[in-house]
Amino acid sequence: MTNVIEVKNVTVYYTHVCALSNVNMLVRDKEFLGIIGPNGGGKSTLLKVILGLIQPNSGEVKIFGQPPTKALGTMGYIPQFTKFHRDFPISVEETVLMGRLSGGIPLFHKYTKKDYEIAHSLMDKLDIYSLKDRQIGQLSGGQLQRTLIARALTVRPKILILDEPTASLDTESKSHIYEILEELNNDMTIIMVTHDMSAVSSHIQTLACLNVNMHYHGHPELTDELVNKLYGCPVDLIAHGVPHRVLKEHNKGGHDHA
Amino acid sequence: MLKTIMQYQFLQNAVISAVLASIACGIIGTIIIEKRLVMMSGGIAHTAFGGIGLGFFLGIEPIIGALVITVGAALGVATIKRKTSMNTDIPIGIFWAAGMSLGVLFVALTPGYPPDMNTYLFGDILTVSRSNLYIILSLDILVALAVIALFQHFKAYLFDEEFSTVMGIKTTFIEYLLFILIALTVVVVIHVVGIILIMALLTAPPAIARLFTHNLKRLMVYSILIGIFFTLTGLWLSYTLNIPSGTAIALFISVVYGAVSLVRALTQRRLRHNNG
Ligand SMILES: Nc1ncnc2c1ncn2[C@@H]1O[C@H](COP(=O)(O)OP(=O)(O)OP(=O)(O)O)[C@@H](O)[C@H]1O
Ligand SMILES: [Mg+2]
Repeated sequence: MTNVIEVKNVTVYYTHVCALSNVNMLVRDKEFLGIIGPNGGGKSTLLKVILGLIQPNSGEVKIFGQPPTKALGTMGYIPQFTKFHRDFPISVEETVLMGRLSGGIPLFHKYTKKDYEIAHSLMDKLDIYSLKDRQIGQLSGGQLQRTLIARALTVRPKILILDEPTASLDTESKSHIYEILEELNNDMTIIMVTHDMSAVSSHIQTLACLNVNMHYHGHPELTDELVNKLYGCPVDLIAHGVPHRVLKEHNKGGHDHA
Repeated sequence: MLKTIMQYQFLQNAVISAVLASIACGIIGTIIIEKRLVMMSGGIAHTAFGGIGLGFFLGIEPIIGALVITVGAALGVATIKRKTSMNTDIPIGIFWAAGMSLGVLFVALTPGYPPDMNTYLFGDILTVSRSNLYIILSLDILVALAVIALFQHFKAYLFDEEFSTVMGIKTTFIEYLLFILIALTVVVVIHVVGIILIMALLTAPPAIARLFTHNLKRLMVYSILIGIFFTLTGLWLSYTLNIPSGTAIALFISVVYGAVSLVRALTQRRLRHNNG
């Protein structure tokens, strides 16, 4: 299998704060990678570097062997925090259709019938079709989130990048989204940042643990030791009884290769 | 008044330029409100005054001077916005002051009888000449054409720059284009309401149109229509009451905007009252 994403020795500083230090990561085609780590661990920063939204201070990122700026349009993105104004005059349907825009600056662009079909079927799938004419400011947090997921999917990306996509969703929508993601995973590579440990155990194939440094990247099996190292203390997830696959016993650890 | 309009060339020019100004302002005003660029546009508008002064000083058509300086300022502001994370209100405030001061300086340096700058500050729609009209018309076509041709991409950029960038949309290009369009619009409107009152014509029509629609395209169309209503009514008021046209238009805009806001506040209060 080929590597679709290569992150080599990437270091990112925000003025004086070091967000990522010498991070290496390879993502294979059709991999479903989960990224976990504490708040401020640099997860969102890593995604933005992959997307080409942030230039690393050193190191390099290759998407399909090319720099991210050349790979624009092949990636779908759902940010952790949206920066747009929710009172912007745009409807749910228009927002979702945005994913069908082509790059560059084509003149007199018009959405085709196929664009509408793709958008509508995804809106159907995510249960927001009935909201299609709503202005996005009039949606609940979860409905907006589903709109943004639909928008990222209408891109029909080769790589789907999600930053805590299920944070504001109810349990039912959550498992629904994971089902959709698993289905999509047949055709695309997925990278998902999450704090949702049950998702880690049941849906993802590989796990990366990030806290400025990449602590682990491999099978989704965590040792207490690693969790301690990553979060600094035994986190909630242990107390709450995380499914077996995630937490292995002390001595059987995963191999650190970061 | 209609009969007089037919008779007098200058009144025809006034009506045509009012309509043209409303078109550019409706489109660009909607954009700067939605993109929160009102303050920046104010800064760009005020540098036009420096350009007009420069025009007088060099002995060229002042509107050409304004065009050059305003576009330059717009590119500068766009670069500042892109390159620094600092609060752009501060450099904009400096632009604002420097633009006005340079205008005054150039006029003072211009030999001979000082020109009447009031026309440019407060506008005088009744002095719009044929050649001015052609300049306004061509700039207007440019603004409308650019926004129509790139409408979906403009909308994406205005709404969500980050996502647009990831989609491969040339957001930097669109942003610079937008700032140039803002500059052009400012120059278009100078003769109608003047630099001081430009912000009223840019912001009030879309602010009112916003109450009636949540669709960007319709917002622009409604803003244009509201702008035409404002400028023509203001023109008529200025003609019948014999007050300066720019002042009449801007005051009329303010009164209508105030009334609409008041009505809206009252109806919302009543709605809340009834529901609660
Ligand atoms: N725009 C910024 N300017 C300055 N520092 C930043 C900026 N964005 C992030 N940081 C810093 O970089 C570090 C990594 O931030 P990042 O957002 O990548 O963390 P994260 O792992 O996504 O955290 P969370 O789980 O809270 O979302 C943090 O220490 C943060 O303070
Ligand atoms: Mg984050």
